[in-house]
Amino acid sequence: MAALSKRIIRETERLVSDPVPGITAMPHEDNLRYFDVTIEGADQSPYEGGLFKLELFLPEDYPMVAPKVRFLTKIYHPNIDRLGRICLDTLKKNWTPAIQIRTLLLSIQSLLTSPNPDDPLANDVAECWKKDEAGAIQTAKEWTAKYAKKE
Amino acid sequence: MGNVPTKEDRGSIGSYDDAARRGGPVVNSLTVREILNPSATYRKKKYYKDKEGLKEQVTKDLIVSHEENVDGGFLAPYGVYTHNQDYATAIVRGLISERRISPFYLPLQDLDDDWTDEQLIKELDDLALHAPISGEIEETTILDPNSKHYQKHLQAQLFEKALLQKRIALQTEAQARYDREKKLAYGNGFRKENIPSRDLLLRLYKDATECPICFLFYPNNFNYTRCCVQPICSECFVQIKRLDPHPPHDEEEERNQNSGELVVPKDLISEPAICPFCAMPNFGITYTPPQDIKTGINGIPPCDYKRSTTKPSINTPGKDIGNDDSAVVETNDTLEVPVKKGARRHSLPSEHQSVISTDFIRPDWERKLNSARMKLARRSAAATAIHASSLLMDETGNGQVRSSRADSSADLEQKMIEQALRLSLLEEEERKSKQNIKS
Repeated sequence: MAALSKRIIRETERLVSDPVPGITAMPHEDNLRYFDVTIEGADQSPYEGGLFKLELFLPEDYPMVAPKVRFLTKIYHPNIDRLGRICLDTLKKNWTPAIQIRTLLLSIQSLLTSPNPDDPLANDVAECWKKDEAGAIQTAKEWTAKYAKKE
Repeated sequence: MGNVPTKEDRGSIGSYDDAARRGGPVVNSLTVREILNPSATYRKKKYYKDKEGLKEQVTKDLIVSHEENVDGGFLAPYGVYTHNQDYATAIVRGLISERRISPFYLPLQDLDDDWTDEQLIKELDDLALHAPISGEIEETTILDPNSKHYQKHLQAQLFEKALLQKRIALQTEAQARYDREKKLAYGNGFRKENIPSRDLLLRLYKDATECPICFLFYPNNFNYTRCCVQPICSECFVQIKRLDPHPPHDEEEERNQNSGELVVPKDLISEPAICPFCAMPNFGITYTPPQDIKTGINGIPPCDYKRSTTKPSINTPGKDIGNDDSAVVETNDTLEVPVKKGARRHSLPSEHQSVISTDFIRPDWERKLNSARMKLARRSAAATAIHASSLLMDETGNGQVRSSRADSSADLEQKMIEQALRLSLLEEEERKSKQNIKS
């Protein structure tokens, strides 16, 4: 494993010393490219009151390629599948090396507030979301209470 | 390895070494026309004879040697990134020599405004020409001795290992030469042409600025994005490239899924890189060299640089240039970026002659796209063949054949012949395109 770049060191320092409200990111001691992330569900969203755990990994050629991010907490969301994989253009073709871990996590946080069922990753969830939005939101709330309870 | 390119095979930029050794003026004969049409350079100079020859040349091009310097920077990157060094090194070396992109400067990890000149010089003196190169080769797949490509793959692995060893040896030598000359120049006061004067170092690094991508500190003559005029160091710039050929956007994939079709090879796309800052398509940069420094290749020896008494004008197109009249130096270089005095440079179209795009330094994107399409075509042809034959087999097996057994096996044969023809046509096409690249 190549030595950590100045950029990763600086980003980590800032994430820890000056965290974004509602988001935490801590690197593992034995692998500084691997982060434990938590995101709080935004108020007025079906995920309000939930605390979602994610894992984030910085590949060798970060920041030229996007970090790998996945939800660990079960979540009912049209753009997040059963394995926690996230459908977000910032993670794929719209990734650019000027985006930082902090900005990326903010985009994921805002994806929770504004689900996009027209560009789904979890097809079944997206179908429900389109057919019966109120019902889907209810399910999302139930899942949040069941799986994403704050300790 | 019998294919070691001789000095003559090398791009014309290689002549700098000899010129420097003879003490004569350094002439870089790579013309702008050649830079603008890199494939012509390859063809004309027979830049490489084969794949291995090219790799050896690239390895040499990636060595940072202090003899090859431009305005206090170098022709090869320091090694902030260990991946994606697959840009056309010959083109980038040419562009740096022509001062059309910023040279690769040694980066400072930190910079403290409170440092005295002595502290700053000390920090710079401690910098190596290149980041440590790991001697470990990336984990390669374990080869199967029974595979028909075993020999070929084994040879390729050995070649890569030898190449890496060579790279480490060459960089170590370059560092030793640099250290020796530095000692003679700074320690014993000898005149060593390629060792930068104290004035040059201070002029460059006194107002070093952080690159917004790698967070390292470089002299202030950055490249600027053509669209949103943001600074970017050359080391980061050469990293930015097109994504590998991929199927078109999700929506189309979905459409194909619905109609039960696979991705058609010609649908594979490859789009120009976007600006990392504003996501504008067709990413490119411009560069305005500092007007008060012209050292190294096509300039005065860096040891002779003396700081002029007037304040140096720093060409940052994103900032006001101020009322310093010398900021706009008369020049016959038509490629000069239009920076009006006191005005912020506007964004430039991607086809502007001063813009260097990511495709320009990686002209092989089209070949990559074609070969990805060809690969997919071969795969889908093979899949169709298997599919067709299994359908026929199934029919005969179930005994529900309308036609006679003889007919269906004739059909099958016909289909297989067609398939074989298609495959061989594809291969012929690929062979031709490869030949075109080689010649």
